[in-house]
Amino acid sequence: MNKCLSFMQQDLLKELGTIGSGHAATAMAELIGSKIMISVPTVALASFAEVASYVGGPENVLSCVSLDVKGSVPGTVLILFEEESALSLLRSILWGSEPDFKNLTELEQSAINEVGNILAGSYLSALADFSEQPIMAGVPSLAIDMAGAVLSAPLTKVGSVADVALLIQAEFITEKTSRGCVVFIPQPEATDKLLKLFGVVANEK
Amino acid sequence: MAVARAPAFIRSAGLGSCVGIVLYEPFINIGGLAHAMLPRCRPGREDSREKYVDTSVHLMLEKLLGMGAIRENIVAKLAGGAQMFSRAESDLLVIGSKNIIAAGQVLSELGIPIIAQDVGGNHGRTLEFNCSDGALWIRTLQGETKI
Repeated sequence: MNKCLSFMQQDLLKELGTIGSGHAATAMAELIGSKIMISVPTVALASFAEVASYVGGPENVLSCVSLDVKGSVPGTVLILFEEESALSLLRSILWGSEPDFKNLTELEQSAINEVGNILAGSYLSALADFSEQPIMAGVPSLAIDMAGAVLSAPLTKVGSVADVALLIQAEFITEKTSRGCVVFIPQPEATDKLLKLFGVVANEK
Repeated sequence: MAVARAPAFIRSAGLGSCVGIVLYEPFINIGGLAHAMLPRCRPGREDSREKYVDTSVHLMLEKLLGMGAIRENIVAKLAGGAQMFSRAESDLLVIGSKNIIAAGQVLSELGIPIIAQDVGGNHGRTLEFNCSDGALWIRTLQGETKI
């Protein structure tokens, strides 16, 4: 779907990504206790069917932090990490830990939830700037499972009407590189609003 | 949603809150597996019938009957409908339960007995249905079972 966007529309998406990454880098540095670089992310408007393919397919095991989003563009935001990236981030945050991805301790789960919270907050605040209206995220909740499974509940609601998700893929560079994906799924009635922020008119697809 | 004859397998990966519904005709070894995301189809959504529990079951039944299945012989199995996130703040997060209930209702309306199920919980499932013997294999992060 991204191929149908004009250069200007793609620029707007990139700008969202850059601004959000700026906020995220600052907040993540505080969490980790050292500087972190966040690369210029890939930002795309994807269809529901494409989201799973961005994160390695429906059977790929991921950590997924989910937050409800309220405000001018309501929906759900998901922060997804593959195993290696999640573990790498956990080791940066909780020095000396040797996490078992499928059996994380409560502390490790809280750490991932906090990363999710920070990233959601950072990109949503950039989105709020774009929409010039408030956007608020709720409390994070974690699931570690196959991509198809973790995407099922939030995408289910979207799948009933419109098919658009905003995808941001970012790289976090500390000693190792971690790759994360932030997916914002607007509620059906907010989809047109989201598209309009990037100058996309709904029937232009 | 797919239907097939033995010796085919039908597979559906990464079911979370979605419910997998198997219909099987054991005398001629044909079956189908539907992967439904939402309970009931709303008016105007007929183009995505396979996404809804009610319409996908009806569609699957129609196809199986067209392949020669005898209505009275057909049985059902269910898997999925998990609650993936522990916090149930909005009704979005109990969609798994709603899907399971809808599946039970639709199958009951059609008079099709549910002979096995593995539903609910907090884990994603990958399903593989064997048309040769009607076995439904369920794989989660914890391991594999068969119903």
